[in-house]
Amino acid sequence: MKDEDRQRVASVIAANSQPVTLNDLAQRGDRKFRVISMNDTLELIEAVVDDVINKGTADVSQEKRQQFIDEANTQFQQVAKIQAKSQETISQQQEVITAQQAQIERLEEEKHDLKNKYEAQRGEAAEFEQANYQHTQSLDRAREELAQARQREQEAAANVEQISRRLANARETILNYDREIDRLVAQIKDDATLIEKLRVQLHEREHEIGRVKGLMEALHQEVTAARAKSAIEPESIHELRGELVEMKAFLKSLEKQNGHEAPAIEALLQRIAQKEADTKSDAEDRFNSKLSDTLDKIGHAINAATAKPVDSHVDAASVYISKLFDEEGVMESNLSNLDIQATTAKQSISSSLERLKTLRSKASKAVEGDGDTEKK
Amino acid sequence: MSRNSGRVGYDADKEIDAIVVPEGNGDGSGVMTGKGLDVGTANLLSAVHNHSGNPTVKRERNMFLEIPSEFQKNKKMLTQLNVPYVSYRERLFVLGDAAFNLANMFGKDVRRPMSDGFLHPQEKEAIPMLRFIVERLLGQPAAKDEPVFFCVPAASIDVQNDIIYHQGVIEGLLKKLGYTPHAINEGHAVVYSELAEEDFTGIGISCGGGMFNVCVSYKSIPAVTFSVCRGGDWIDQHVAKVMGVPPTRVTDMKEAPGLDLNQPRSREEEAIVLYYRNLIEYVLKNLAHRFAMAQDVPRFSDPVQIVVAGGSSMVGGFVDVFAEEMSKVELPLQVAGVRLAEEPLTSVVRGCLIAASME
Repeated sequence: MKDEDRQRVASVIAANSQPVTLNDLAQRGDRKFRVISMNDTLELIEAVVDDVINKGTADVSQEKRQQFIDEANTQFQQVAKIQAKSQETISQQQEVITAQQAQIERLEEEKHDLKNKYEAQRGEAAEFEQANYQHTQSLDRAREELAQARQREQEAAANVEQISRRLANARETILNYDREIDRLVAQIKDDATLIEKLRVQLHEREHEIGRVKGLMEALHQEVTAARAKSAIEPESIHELRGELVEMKAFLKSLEKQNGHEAPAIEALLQRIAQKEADTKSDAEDRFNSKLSDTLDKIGHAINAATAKPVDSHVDAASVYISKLFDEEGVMESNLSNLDIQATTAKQSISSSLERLKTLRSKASKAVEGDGDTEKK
Repeated sequence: MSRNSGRVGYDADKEIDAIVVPEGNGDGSGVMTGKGLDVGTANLLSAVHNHSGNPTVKRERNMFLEIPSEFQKNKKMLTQLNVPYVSYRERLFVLGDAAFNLANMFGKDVRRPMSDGFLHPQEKEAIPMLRFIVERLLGQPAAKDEPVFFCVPAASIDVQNDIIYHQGVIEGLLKKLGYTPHAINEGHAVVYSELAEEDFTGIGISCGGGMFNVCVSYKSIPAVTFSVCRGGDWIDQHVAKVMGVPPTRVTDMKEAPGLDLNQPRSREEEAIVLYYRNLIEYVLKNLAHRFAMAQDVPRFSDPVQIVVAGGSSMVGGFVDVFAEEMSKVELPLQVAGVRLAEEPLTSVVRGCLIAASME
């Protein structure tokens, strides 16, 4: 066999066989192996082929034999070419398969990553939804509280404004009364000045009357003395009488004048005093009354704005509670369909109850005994 | 009264002895009439007599939760799940324990009809929701004008509050349901239920969700009553703030079994313990201050017993810490000891029932 034929046979064997490791063979269950080299294999094949050809072609001429060999070589070369082409195709397909397997593995990894991301995002979405729900609830409550606070603030502002207006009115009223009091006080002062002036005049007139009375008394004594002596000249007596008459006339005029003015002064004084008292009393009464009313109004306004619960017990059921359940019709519940778990207390209350009754009974008897003693 | 927290180690399922309670006592059965109602900030409880002699108690959390209006279509499903709801002004509310569980599940805050022992001033739906829960607890009157004793808080010494409106609304609500309402001080109810052995002489303290109520009693007569306006809710709010969790989650942690004020096991429990100790210290300082200022504290010839009750007192180690802190303050009376009520959660409502039975 030629060398090139041996190479073709070797490539055919290589193309139609697979390299297998000993471990793989062991895994298949093979334990013992016979090893033959490629050269030995080719020599064996060559010997067998030569032997067969020699036997089958013993009676064939050398020329014929060479023709068979040439035809066989030609066929073998064709088969070898086909085999080589197939091997190439197989190699290409294996490369494609390897590439596709790598692609599949990459896609599997991407799929796994995407799945993890999806799970994580789904968890985050659930948490976000939960948090969003809680925030919505909180926001609703905050809005309600804010609305209530605003309403309270508006009410308080309205109350403060109302109180401010009332306070301004009260201040104006007080100022008016201050002005009225000032005017009355000034008038009273004027009246008092007038009274004082009249008193001074009256005092001066009384002093003048006293002085004139003294003069008349002195003249009368002189006349009496002159009569007693009888030594006085008639002209002198006449002159003295004339002076006395003048003095009397003056005194009478003074008395007359004084008598006319005194009741008037007295009446004026009384009228002024009365007026002073009435005016003062009336003004004070009116002022006090108005001031009291104003203070009451301010007090009511302040109390209304800063009202606290009255410290007395009221029956809430009749006043308020019934209104709380006006919406009972729109409420729906399953409570009547459900049982509630009940437990029996381990501790009895009967002994406590008995002791308490005994104690109360003793206390009642003691009270009755005290009552009897008091009666006795 | 209100046991916001409490219920440490409380297992509702295990404690259930009966599901159906006969409401009608006017059938000649011989069972006493009269009911007790604990109107607490965190919990509402009712108590009625039954044939066994021990009262039957029903409890519901005093809270509600608005759920999205889309659930309007699922009302039947809610009923099948035993979830109480109220549809009101095209809005849907879930009541009681179901509201608490839903809020805890979705990390939301519940809404509360009451705050700090009184009706919540900013909660518009407070009265309708309260009415539904109370109706669910009390049912119909067993007899005409059946008496109901409900607890009310005393005036607070640390905060200005007014009891008149609160009491008036509860009375009106009970009248609306056909009952004859009577109010009883919360601390006084504790005295009724827990201090019988001491002839109802001593100090009853109700540790609730909204406030701590104190009653000094002599021979069942309340001599001094007052309250301090902090309770379990205060702990919930502060722990929630520092730990960044909803208050309902803190309530749940407080009610989990095993929490002990002397042995916190986690960062959250340490925060709870810190605020619990602060609360107890605050309450006792105020209590001592009130006693020091008062002229009306009676003089007892013998040392008096203090009994604590209410949901907030149910946490492990509460009485130990309470006694420890009490030893640091000076009181104008001798204390024989401090003890925890046998059933702290139902102490107030049992006291209310005792008062109702005396009618």
